[in-house]
Amino acid sequence: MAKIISMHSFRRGTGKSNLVANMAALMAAEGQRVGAVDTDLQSPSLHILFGLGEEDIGYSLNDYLRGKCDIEQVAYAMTPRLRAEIRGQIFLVPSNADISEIARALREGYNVGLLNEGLSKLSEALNLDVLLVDTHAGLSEETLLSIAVSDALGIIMRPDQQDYQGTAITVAVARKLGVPRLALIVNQAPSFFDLGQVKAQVESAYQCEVIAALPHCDEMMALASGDIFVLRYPDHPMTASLKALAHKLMA
Amino acid sequence: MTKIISIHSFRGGTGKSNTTANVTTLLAAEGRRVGVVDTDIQSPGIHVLFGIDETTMPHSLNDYLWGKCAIQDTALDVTARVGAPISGQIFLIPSSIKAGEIARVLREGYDVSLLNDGFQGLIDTLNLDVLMIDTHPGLNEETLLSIAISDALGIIMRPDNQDYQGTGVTVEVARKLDVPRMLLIVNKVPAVFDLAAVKTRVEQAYNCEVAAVLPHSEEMMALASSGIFALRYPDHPVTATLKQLAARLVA
Repeated sequence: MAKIISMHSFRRGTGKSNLVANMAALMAAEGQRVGAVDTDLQSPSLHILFGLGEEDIGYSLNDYLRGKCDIEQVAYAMTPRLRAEIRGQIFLVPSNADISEIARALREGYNVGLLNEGLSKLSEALNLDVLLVDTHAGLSEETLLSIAVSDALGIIMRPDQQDYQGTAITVAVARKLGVPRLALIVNQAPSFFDLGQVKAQVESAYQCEVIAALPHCDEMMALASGDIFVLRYPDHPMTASLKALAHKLMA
Repeated sequence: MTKIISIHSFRGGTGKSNTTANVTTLLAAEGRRVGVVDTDIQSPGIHVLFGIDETTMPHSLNDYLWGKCAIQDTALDVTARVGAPISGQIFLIPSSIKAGEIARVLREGYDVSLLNDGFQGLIDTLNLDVLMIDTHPGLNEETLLSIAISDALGIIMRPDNQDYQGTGVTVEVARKLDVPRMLLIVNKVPAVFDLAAVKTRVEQAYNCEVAAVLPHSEEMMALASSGIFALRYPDHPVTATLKQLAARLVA
């Protein structure tokens, strides 16, 4: 059974999708068979990072959740598309970015039980080592239920006043849900911040392990979610930090 | 005649609350009575920029929407809190930051027409010159209402692949809703980008005026939503751009 790692954040714009895509690439580069699932039906974005357009996507996660297809039909092999040499495999499960589908998802929500079943089936059918789940930001019933089945949960926050209180609530709720492994990731820290201090302060404030304190990165920003950073900049210090994070998540 | 100005974005994390708070303050600094409503009930944040927390928020927009109080009871005079003397006045109508109340709204929703009545009530009882609406990201019933009643609409986007398609849809929808003035704001632009070139490209791509191109700013990032940037850094180039934006929105 694959290890399920969910990436969540209280607020939006924290870098969740970019992190999921980069973690998938790094883990697959080490020979892992990785699933990357975009459960953010309200604002899908994983497919963008992997360079998939509407024409490349047949069935989406939305179709599976409405019982129109099997979960295996929604998994797309990404590794052949990536320019880099990757020993493992990445399978992307995208959500539908069509505006009417998004509106529909907003109105109707989705069946979390079915999602969780699908994740199990997928990891078996594709013999996955890791399943990375990209979630919608904020506390919602669906997100909480999917977090509850995770083996590990990464909560991403920016060192911004708007993030602090909500992240504290999220950590408390995740603890109550009994997630086996809970860790904070501080992202987009101003470049002149002492990252060691940031890590210590956040750990102390939330009484929760901080597995990475990542600085704002101009090249990542300029890449603008158009590609996977660690494949474009394999020798960048940020890539080294992201590798360390991937190892911690896989441990 | 009171001007209603909505600040919207398709995706989250674009800098809506910071931009709204700064424009609000700049307009008030010119002697206006400005109301600012946080309609992002699922993820409230603008109160943080005005130094408001749970202990200083006797009523919230949620209380009004649940029929517990009149709209004017939710308005907080925050003029003295911005840290510099302002010749006008700023009234903040915050959304609740209590997890239980956010969860309740997520479960039960609310009557969107009450929101419209509330806006009118605020304009009348507070004798406002401008009503700023900080919206929830994405297209849904509440945001469509705000857009439909606005005299001016600022759509914020980041120059990121995750924003492009959805912003295009938002521009089209706003056009159909006949917003008298629609302006694009490109925010968090990487330092390496040519701002003038960004303006031209975006204007051409969306066939819509770009009122401001705001570069990523380390000072803004380090301020971390703890205060009003335009007051803290009155001579900063970003502040000059924010002033221009404010002028275009009320023109």
